[in-house]
Amino acid sequence: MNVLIRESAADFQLVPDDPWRIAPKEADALLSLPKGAWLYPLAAWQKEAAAISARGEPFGLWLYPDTPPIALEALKPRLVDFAVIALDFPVFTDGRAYSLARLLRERLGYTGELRAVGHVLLDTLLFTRRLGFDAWIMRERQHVDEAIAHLRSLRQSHMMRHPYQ
Amino acid sequence: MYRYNPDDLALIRERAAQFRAQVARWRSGALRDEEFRPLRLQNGLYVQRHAPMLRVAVPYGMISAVQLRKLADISRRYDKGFGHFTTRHNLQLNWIRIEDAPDILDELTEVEMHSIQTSGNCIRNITTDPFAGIAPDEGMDPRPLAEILRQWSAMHPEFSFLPRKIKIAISGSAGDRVLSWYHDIALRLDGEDEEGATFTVIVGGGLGRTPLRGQIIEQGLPWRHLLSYLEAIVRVFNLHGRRDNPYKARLKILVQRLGLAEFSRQTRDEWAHLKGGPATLTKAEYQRVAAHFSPPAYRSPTAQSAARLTTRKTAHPDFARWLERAVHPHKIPGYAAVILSLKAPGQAPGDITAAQMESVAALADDFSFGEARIAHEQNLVLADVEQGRLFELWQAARKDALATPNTGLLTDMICCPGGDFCDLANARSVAIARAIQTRFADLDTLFDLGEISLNISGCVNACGHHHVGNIGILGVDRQSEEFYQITLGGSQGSAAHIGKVIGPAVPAARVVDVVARILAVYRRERRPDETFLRTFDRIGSAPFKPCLRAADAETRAETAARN
Repeated sequence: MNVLIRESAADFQLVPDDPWRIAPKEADALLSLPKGAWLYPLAAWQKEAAAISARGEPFGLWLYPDTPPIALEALKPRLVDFAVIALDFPVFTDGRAYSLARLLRERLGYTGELRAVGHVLLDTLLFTRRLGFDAWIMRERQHVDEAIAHLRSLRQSHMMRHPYQ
Repeated sequence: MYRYNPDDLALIRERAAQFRAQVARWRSGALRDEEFRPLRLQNGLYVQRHAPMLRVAVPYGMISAVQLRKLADISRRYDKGFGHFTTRHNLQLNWIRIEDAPDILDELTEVEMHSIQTSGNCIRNITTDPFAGIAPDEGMDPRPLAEILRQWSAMHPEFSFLPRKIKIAISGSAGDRVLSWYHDIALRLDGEDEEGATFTVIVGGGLGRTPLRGQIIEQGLPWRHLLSYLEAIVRVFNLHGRRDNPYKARLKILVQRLGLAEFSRQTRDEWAHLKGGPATLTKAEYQRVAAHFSPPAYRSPTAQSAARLTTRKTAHPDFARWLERAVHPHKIPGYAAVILSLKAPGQAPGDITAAQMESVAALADDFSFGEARIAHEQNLVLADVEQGRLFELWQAARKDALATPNTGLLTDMICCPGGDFCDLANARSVAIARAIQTRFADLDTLFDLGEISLNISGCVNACGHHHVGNIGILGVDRQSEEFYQITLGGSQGSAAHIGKVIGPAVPAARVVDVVARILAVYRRERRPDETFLRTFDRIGSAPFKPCLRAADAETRAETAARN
């Protein structure tokens, strides 16, 4: 079962009942979406931004790692509208989302929740945390305590203090 | 050389602890094999043909006597008492147990060593000139920047899962001793502006299954912007390099596909955002690191010592020979750099026993301020030896088979571990090297053949740099038999280029004969003082082709007789 860990000012916590779901890409399906907390795939947002905004509920964005940086830059004026941006790791060795995260945080100034979803391992928490992710969907409930302990330990870690950045 | 501060040390200790936990999770089943694999590779741990292999980083080839003694100790207690130096300055331990790897890493931290990023799809060990800091043709000691690159690239959060590995070399000399045309990225000092040194950036080179010469993407890049510029290149690679096919994933393939102009445009677009940002180097930071590389306390030469050297040369022709091959000029009068050959007859090229590691440590302490370097040609270098003590050094080095006077000669082969150890290899390399060493053991013959490079790789991954050998030997698998393809005319250096295939591949048993025939053609055709490469460049491959045809005919005749 998937579970969410989120960083708050003081700590990392397991968030029960995470409401966010990934919305379908197809336009027809979008029109009939029930009320809820939806993460829209980029293609859906690009087509239906007006309709999505008009729903009057918080919304987020779901990005696959093949998202071109230029498409992210086009989002800049609207980034403030997204409550959550989820970056997908189809497999943990696909490091493209690391670059996308840096672009979102450093270049485009996105300050909302940045969430790692997909193949998230204990071993990549370090890198994602350093790049400004502040929420993680872990696949296995039993790893959550370990993950939270690991994230806490990273606060004192020398591996977090990267020189020349 | 660079000494770790408490933060540097804490980092590698934490990394070792993290790795210990990863091994434990893998053993408990919490990490699947396919998850553990990239994680262990990032920390230099391979699972090989006979046993796991741990590749220990020797950043930009600098190693201390203390570190050498530690490696000797580790290789005795955890391995079979020897190691193998690679073309990226690293030391491979070929017979360790996975469960010992965490303990080995802990022990390495005691001497400020690690195995971070000696494999995996990340930025690999930074390489440089083995004569860095002392070469007469040097404009700037590249080691402070190499150390900065090491720190920048180690555990880089954005670049730890790239499409494929990135190999970076840096050079501060006029001469190219770092193989800069065949790296993913090479940085070469090209002058200076009002703020200091500037660099030429070469991108998209590499050997392997698709050998490509790098191309110049930038010139006159100020040193302060090196890191931001590298970040731009690696980011473009990270986002756009192919991830569907590992054989088409290297940076060189992306540069080739986009073309230099487009790759350069994308890099510059990225750089426009990064330039002047937090990755910009400061003078204070450079000086902090550079202070670790300040020159040792050199002594002034005496007229006496110079005279004594001349006498010794006359009295000991063996010593004179060794001087001719093993000694490299030094920018300080009265000093020399000395190459300790790891290519003695019967020694697998680049292999070193624990006893030899300890001997090198003792020699480094006695003769070279306690430091040594690893050259990418798989030899060791003592960089700061007083010329007046060369005879003494020669006598000491000879005892441990470290004074073979063959540097730059035929038996100074670059050679990968090959099929005897490596899982990727199609054929054995060391057996071929041994056969060549045996056939060409006579020093008079070697000196007569003169400057020549012979490089052997056991497969297309080209760890033995066969493409750039004057004679290149590549192991190929033909119907489960070991065959070898021969190339001629490759070279390293400023005019580096790839050799040409001159005929059909030959079976293992014929390789030495073919090499002998090729060398006979050279001897027949050469002009006075003309090296093998010069002769080849002048006469081309045609006169050499019959060597292969003859071997091929003999192989066919033999096969026919057997059937």
